[in-house]
Amino acid sequence: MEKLRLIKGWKTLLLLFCMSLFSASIFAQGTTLRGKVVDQKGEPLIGAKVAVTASPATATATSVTGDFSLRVPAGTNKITISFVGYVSLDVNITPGKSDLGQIPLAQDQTNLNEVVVVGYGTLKRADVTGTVATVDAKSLQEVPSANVFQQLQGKVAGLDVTYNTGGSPSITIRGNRTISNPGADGPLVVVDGSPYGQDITTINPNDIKTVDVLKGASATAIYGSRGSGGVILVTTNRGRVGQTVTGYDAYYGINTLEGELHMLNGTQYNQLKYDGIEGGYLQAGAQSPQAAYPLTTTEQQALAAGISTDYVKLLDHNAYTLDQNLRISSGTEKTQFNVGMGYRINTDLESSALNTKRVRLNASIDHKINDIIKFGINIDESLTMTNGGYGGQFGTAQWLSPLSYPYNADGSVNPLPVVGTLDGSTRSPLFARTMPDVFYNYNRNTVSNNILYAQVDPVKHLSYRYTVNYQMAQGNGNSYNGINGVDLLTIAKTTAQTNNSASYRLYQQHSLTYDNTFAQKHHVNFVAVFETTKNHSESSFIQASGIPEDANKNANLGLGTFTNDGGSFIETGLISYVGRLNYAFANKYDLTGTMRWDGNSPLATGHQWTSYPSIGLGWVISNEAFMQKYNGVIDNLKLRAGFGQTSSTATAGAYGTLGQLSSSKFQYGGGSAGDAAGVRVTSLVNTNLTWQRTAEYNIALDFALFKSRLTGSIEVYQQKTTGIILNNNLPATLGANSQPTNLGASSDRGLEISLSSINVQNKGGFSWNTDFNIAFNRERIDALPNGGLINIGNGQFVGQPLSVIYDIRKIGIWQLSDATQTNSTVINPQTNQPYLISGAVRGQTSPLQYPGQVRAQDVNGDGKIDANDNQFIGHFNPNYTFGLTNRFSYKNFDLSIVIQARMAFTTTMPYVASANSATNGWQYLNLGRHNQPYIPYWTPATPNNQFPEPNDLTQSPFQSSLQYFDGSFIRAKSINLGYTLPSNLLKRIGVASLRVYANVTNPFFIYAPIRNHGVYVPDAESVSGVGGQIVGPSTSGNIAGAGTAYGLVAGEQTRDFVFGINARF
Amino acid sequence: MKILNKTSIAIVTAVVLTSTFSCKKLLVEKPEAQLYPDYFSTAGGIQAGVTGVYNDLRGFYSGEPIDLMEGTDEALFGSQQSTGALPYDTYNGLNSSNTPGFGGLWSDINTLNGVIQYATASTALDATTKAQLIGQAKFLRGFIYFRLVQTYGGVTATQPSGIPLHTTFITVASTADAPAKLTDIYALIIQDFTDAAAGLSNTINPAFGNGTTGKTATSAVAQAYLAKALLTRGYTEAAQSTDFTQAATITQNLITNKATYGLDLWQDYNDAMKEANDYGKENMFGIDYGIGTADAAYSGYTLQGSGGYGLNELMVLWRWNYISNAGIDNVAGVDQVPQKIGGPSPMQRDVYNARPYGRLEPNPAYIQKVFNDANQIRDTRFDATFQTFWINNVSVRAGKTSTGGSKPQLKPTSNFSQTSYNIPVDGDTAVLMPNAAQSAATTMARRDAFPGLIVTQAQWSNAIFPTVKKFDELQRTYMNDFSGRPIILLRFSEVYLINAEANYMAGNAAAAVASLNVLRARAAYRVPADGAQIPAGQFRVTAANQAAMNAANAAANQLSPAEVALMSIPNITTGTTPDACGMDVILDEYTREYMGESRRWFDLVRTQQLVRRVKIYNPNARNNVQPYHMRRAIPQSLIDAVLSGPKYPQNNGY
Repeated sequence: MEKLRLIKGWKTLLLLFCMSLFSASIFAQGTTLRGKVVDQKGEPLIGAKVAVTASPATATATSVTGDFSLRVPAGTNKITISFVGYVSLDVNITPGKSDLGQIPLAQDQTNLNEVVVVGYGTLKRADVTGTVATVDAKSLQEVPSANVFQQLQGKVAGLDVTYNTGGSPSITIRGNRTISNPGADGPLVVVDGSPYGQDITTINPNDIKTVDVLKGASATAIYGSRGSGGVILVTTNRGRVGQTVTGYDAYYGINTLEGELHMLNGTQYNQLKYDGIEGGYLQAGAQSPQAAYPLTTTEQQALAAGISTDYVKLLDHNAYTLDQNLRISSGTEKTQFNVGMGYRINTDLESSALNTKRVRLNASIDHKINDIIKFGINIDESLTMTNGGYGGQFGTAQWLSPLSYPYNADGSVNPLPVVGTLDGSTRSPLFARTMPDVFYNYNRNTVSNNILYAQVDPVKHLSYRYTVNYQMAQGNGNSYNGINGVDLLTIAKTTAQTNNSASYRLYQQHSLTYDNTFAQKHHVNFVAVFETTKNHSESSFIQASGIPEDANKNANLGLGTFTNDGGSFIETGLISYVGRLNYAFANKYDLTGTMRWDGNSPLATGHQWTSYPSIGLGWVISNEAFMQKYNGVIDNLKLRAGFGQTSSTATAGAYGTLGQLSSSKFQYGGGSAGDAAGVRVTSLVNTNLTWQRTAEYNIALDFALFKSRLTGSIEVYQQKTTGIILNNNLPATLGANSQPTNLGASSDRGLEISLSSINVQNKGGFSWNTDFNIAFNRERIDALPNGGLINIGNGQFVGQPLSVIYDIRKIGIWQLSDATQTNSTVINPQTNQPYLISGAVRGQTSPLQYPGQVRAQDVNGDGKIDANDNQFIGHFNPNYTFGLTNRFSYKNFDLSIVIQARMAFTTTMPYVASANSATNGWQYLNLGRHNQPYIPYWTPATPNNQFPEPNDLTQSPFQSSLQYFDGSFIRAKSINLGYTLPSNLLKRIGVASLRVYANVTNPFFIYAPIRNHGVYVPDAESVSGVGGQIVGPSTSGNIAGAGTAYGLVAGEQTRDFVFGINARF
Repeated sequence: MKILNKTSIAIVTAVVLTSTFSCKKLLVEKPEAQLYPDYFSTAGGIQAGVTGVYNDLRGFYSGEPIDLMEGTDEALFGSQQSTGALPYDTYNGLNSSNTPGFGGLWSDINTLNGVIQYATASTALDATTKAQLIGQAKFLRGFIYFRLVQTYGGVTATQPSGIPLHTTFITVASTADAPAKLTDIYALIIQDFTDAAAGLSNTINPAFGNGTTGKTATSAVAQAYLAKALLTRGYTEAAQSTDFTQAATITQNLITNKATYGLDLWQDYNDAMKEANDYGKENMFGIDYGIGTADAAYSGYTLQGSGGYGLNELMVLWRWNYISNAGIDNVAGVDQVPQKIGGPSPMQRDVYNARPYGRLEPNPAYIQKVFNDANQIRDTRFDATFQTFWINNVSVRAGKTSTGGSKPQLKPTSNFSQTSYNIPVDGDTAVLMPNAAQSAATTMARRDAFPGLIVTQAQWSNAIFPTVKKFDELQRTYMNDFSGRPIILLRFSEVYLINAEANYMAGNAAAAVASLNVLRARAAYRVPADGAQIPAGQFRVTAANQAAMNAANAAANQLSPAEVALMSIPNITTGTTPDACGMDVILDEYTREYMGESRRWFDLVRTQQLVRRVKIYNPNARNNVQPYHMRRAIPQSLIDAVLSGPKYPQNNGY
């Protein structure tokens, strides 16, 4: 064990490594040991050092296949295997056994010698004072996905990924800061040193080498005006010196709908109508002679025939994903290159003809002309083609009456299955896919990201680098809706649209780096940067109707009549000066100071330039003399503290201060005269706007214990954001209602713990390690505009989280026994059935309520439920989030399980509360016009305290109070089981290594209380069309309450079964 | 080192190339896709400011202006009243439905101030165009201030104006503002209208409409509004002694010179309300919506759909729910209210009958008085205003008789359509609302014999009432569409009424009587074709008796001796005795002429009759109405937004 000390310190390691290159043949006698060094996934580690423990000079390095062969002296009983970035391993030698087989090494999560990307350069991890969390490609690829943000879920403490409607991810790091605009708090994404302006999904996750997440202002202040939301630094693969490595990675996945709402079946739907009448009598007396939407003749027929159509089932079929990637990289001392290409197709759950195809190319070259000059280029191209023509039918599929016939007698789709009802003109969700040519929606997007650099190192320790980045994106959308013979019948009504968008970003950077160590103790790293960025985007669209025939689609809109058109144009500029000094003394004390000056065009003239300072301190306690006695137990102990200031540019856009005129066209003399240009002054020139500012303190303790078997860090932070850009209400008499102004303040404080442990290290071929992270964040509004304390309409209260629910609280359902009288019954003339009628419940004078209705908590006990009874019901931000990844390996098998959790927050389940509407959402508790999810509602025969009785006459009051649920969940994100084929098998076919794996993404939930209430996917309801109908509390019983629409959002979450290979040649 | 040199040159070249975008330029914003205030420095921008305000008025007058009708003598709320209904109990500054105009109209004023400032200084405009543009801008500014001051401004000597006065272009935000003096506001309005009357052309200038469609301001419009502003000021603390006489003089001149301005009355009141005459000689100023417009981008409204703003919704507000409430079971012994509502409905929605909003009920106590049977014979205006019968359009058995027997199957119209405005040509009457005499003669036997439902005058309720039909639009292609007809804000007939009112207030009773009698005479005129739209059994003319009947009715419809006598009794604003002064005669005449148009609240407030007439006629509001209700509450949002300087005062009483 004590011999492990020998390899402590990177210098020793490097020295040994170099020696090993010419030491292999020194020993003439003894035995030759063979083996293969691999990582936890069974992939070969090339160039790992294998040395005799007792005699480190006897050593070798592994080949491109990870194999080694080492002649050792007789009597050798132990060898040590080491590799940069991995925990060294001692292997016992059994006499007579020369083939050691596959030897897996575990990754070292906090290797102090590791070089980490910190923005505008790199630093040794030992010298870093800010917070940088690194996730490498292997860890990312444990979740097969087209989107790196999805792969990051649960991997980094404090990084929270949620989904917006439509499934695009929304990311926050260390909570929300911007009152009223939490979407503005996302991180800056930097790809290969250049800020990335495009959707991150255009970057192929297979091209990503590492992701570094900068958290806290002391780390992100170097990005100044864009640093408040954290910074995600993505580094893509580059060529390496050595043999040519060819990699082929591919997987095929079957995607299934991850849970769906349980809709009422035909019988239950019929019962709902009965219960709706019953509710009408019970709660409103004898005023309800008939169901508001009685069963039609067809529905009655279907009921008698036992028909119960589940349109979702009929619509849904499994989709697939095919993802293939090829990568070739190689290099000499002078030139290295990397070429990668990827092709991915994934289809829609509704039809395999609806799909998204992605083609992505990635290439880099680095060339050293001589010792002074080197240059390189890095290009990343992507083409995304989406055919989404007739998707999005799940919403309709859910609400259509189950008592309807989906198919005609001849087997064709019945286009209007609910004809005869109020929704008779609703097309069957199954219909559109029978006519793909008339439901046409095709999008094509290309993104090209090109980075060119040249580096000059004129003298030792000094380096100048010039980088230019040209990013370009173009999007083209085409849609057409033709005559379908069902609800679109004439050429005049056909519509077509073409839209085009283009954007580019021109970025250049001059940077000067000085790095030197004086007197062996003083290490200085100084960076100075000047950079400019120009962003340009433009778009145009044109719509027409009256397209003559389907063949035209949207190719020539001039064939029809233009109905709408428009365009946009945005240009912004950013100029920055950046400086950073990092000073380390004796590997014990670190100091980092940064300063950035940003000039941003969207701000008011005179307020465009701002500066962002930060300072960071580090103390490597474990390097102190007094700590040496703990050596072997405490391998590393480092205390870090920092302070910095940052802004967010997402809070105000281009031209926002110039006082844009509103377009207000008018037709003098009727439509035949055409539109005359018209404008109105509705906003005023803004002369004072500047960015909001976040100041953050960060204290952290990094540690590595028990020979680095347990590593991790604990971080505490506090943020204060001031001058938040909010609309200030102006006196309307000035001609403008409001103006964005720097008002409002918020604060966040939090605790983050990250742990990595090697639980079992190659015991009998078995290894097990664990990564765990947990983040607690508390956000709070410190100030609202003009000294206000509450803004009920927006759910903002000083002292509370940024968005809270303020509403009355449901404490149950009024029961029959609560009513003054419930004994009489009335015979309904239409159904000839008796119905119970009831008096109002006792003890509540306003509003009068009846059994089966929501019972609200009367906070002040005055017998009235009104605005005075509103209370805080919950908040939308989770109190804590955590992630847990376990990796196991046994011989050639490896297994990883990723778990992700968001805990202690309230979410809204809108469909139990939405108001009556024609075609969106549900009318639960009201009218029964549409089918709806199964919910255990109250009836006199089956009383409960969960949901009120349906009522076809009036909607039960306080329905918004039904929608709030504990949104906490712990989900298994991914299970990945791999097997690496034995190398002797592969050698014959010229394959260096081959791993096959099976993966399940989103396999199951471990904990999610909301699933007891009919919701199957707590972080995004698995259907479209549901999320849009979140009910504001003020619509409930006319009591002004507060709340913002954060809750379940529509999105088709899938559970994926994936089979893949990783091959190296 | 040769390579070094080459490469160095390449690098330096690259740096220079990419540095060509200058740093300072990067921070200068040059928007291209939108318009910014520098647009006003062009000739097109100045005109666009005027155009933008005209368009905004479309949005302002669209929607449901029920606050100007409910809570007056003319209207009670219907069974489907929307929130913010106004029997004065919810009248406050928090409820935006009774604090209209804040926001949009002030943006209009600021826009017009910009137009006037830039146009005055402009060298890009020729003198004629400049005069026209400034004339339009001043007219619109005066018009909007006039509207605002009538809504929020004082009517007694102790109250201030309620609104600020801004006459210069505001470009920088502030959190201070204060109300101006009422005299200053009226001075600006009168000055603006005076300037506009001088600057605008006599008929519509080609730059602002082609004169046959579109009703923008002309000199005559400005003069009429000048008269109306003077008339209105005459009642206020800011009154000047000549206000009434000046108003009378201006209107008399307009009447005398009507040919100059292309203005006149139609011979038949029915013609004045017809869609075909919306842009004819009698209508002076209106808000355009684009007849039958199919341009969704302009109207903001998808035809055959819903949503959006920008269309005339007046046509649906006074429409009872003829679909749900037309049940026709008779109940033995129940000859009055309620008829039992039940059974299948004999009516379904179609384009002719349109969408029933049921917001407003014509106030029976008042409407049955001013449009009484005698009036109805000699005065065509009730028949021109109200729909009182509905032709069956569903094939159903028409309910039960009072003895439980089945009524016969109703015969539906053969001209039913949900896609075009088809006047029913046959079919049984599903619902009939007879006049007073016929109502009195409706027995249970008559009800049982009648195939449909009879609603007598006593049975009018907030759910069942005659529908105001004067806003019907013939070009609609979907039963739920609103109207694309203009909302007429000023008819030439009003010039006679302003003249009458001003003369009455100035003490010239004879001149007032003469002006009223012009309208009375016109109202008596009928043609046989008008009879198609009134129920069988009511008075109509034939080709044979037309001349004689019209002459007789015109004579009978002149002000009665009693009414003439009242015209000499000055305005009485207190008490609850009906028909006590000449103002009662004048206000009754406003109702007959303009029933259903969104203006009654202004007429009652101007004449200081709101409290008295509401107490006499409106059972819903009479216990709530107070003198301070003659001005609206200042929106709380304005009071909350004034953060520097003195606190913005709320109007008294709120």
